Amino acid sequence: METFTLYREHLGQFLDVCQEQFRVQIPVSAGDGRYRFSPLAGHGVEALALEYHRTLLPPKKYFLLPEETICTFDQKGYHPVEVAEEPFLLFGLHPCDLHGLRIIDQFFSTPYADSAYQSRRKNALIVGLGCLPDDKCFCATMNTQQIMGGYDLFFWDLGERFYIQVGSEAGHGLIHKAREMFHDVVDEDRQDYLETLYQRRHLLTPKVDVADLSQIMEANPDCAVWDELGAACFACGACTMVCPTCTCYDIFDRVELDGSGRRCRQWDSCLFRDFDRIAGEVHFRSDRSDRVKNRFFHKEVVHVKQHQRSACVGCGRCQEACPAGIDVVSVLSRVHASCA
Amino acid sequence: MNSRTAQKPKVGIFGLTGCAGDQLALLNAEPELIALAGRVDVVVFDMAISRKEEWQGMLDLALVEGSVCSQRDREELEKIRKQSRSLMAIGSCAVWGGLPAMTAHIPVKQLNKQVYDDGEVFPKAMGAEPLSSFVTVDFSIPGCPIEIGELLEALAAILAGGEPQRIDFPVCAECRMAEQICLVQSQNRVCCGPVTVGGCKARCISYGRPCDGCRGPVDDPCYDATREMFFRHGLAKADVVDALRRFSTPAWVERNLAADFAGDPQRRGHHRSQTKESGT
Repeated sequence: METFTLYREHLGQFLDVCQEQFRVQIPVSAGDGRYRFSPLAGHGVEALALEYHRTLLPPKKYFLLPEETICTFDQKGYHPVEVAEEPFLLFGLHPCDLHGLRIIDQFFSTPYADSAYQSRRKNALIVGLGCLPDDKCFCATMNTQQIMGGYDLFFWDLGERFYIQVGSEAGHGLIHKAREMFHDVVDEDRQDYLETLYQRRHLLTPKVDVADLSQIMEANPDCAVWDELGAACFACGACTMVCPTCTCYDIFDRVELDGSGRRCRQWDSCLFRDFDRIAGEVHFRSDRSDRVKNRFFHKEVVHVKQHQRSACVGCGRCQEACPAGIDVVSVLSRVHASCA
Repeated sequence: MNSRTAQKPKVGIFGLTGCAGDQLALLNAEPELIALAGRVDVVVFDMAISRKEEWQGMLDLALVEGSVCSQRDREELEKIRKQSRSLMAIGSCAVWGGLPAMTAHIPVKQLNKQVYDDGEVFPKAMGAEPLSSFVTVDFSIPGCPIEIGELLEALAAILAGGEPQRIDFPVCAECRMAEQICLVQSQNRVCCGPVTVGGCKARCISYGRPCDGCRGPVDDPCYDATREMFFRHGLAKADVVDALRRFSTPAWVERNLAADFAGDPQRRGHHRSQTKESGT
């Protein structure tokens, strides 16, 4: 694997080079200690928030848009909408978000490829960024602190320089567009990099025991925790919107007065009462507690069976977004304890 | 032309007691109005048509804004219902009772005395109620004022023989979709987002104002947890209760949450009047 270093003062220039070919998106401050992925073009490199822990919305917003038109229709019939995305580059994804992206990549490619998602995804370059956890991160619990590919370049902040791993041909190409800015890795760089990994590893300790979690949940589906959660949760859907791996959407028509219209898809949530409404006004999960339980079961039981891993990547967004202050880590630990 | 007009569905737009802001929103949507006029025959439009001959025939659809605040409103509404194949409540006054119903838990006699000091000004005044208290409502477009896009999409869906898109997710969901920062979490503000029907794309929050709940409650609002959340943020009970019920008191009263609306002395109008009475 190729590795390089880049001096911090050259990062702006490098991003400018990237900008010639890609719409570069970077994490920027949204105020109040929150961050958003936003266009570099609108903010300038000085807005790049390398210190960010998590963004309000995950990178999925670039691939599964909050609302999009999937086709249009009129008296003549249905007309497909071509997704003509210019190539873009997401700079600064943390390992948890790389894992999240991997999970939704799988969802939108098998068994049927989602063409809108795929055409955006194949137009995107991903640049990862090493991180240290804050009090809401629980990647070490979900084992997503590890970097297992899924990036074109990965940046480690070593202070005055970055240690950069190349993860793909496209990443290699990007480096070689500005090769003069990059330096070959020498022993000192390698040692600093290993030292950073060492320090990071010691900050990343599992917060709760999740061993056998899916078996425990499955064996005891009537655990009292779900009713308690049903009383505390507003079912507002905030957690699902900000979740990097929640992929549910609704499809509906926006009709114009002349009878033409757009078939739209919009983010949906299994916590919404209408999510499972079927003919005859029947609901499968009319109680909030059933809906909350279903969300956790999908992440921790169903997804494990289908894909051999939990669908939670421990990014901490849901905990940050929940108006009721529901904390996933404590939910998992209570489920683990009381269902045991 | 005449024959074509005759084939177009006949629509009446009526206003009961309210500020007429929803009719105004429709009047302001000029390009869409032209498109609408191409599809339907607007035979009654209280705010826009000055001639006051009564429409005698049958309507395919009546749009009614405002709440029912008097016997006259009620009679007019019942007449509209009899004359219309379908009836759509537009605006939160019509759908939920709106601001005029804020006092739904206080006897009208008492309100009359408090405001006019005698019962003669509006002898037939009633506590404000939504249309659904008296007639069958086929479609509802909430909001203060309505989102004009939502109304036009609903009309288009009905004209195309379908059902309007029904929204039952709260404002919080759209607020997160729009990547706004939560005002409860960041500024300790009372925000009705968790219990209020979305569809406004978190308009107020995007301008830095908390949600006032103008679109009314979702089907299954988590009132207790919402109230508890605000208390945990150290907000005064009276502020929380007032905010939650501001636009949709009748709905909350029906859900037996009236006890919460009676216990805040400094905020309850009727308590002020009682204090005044005992003072005189």
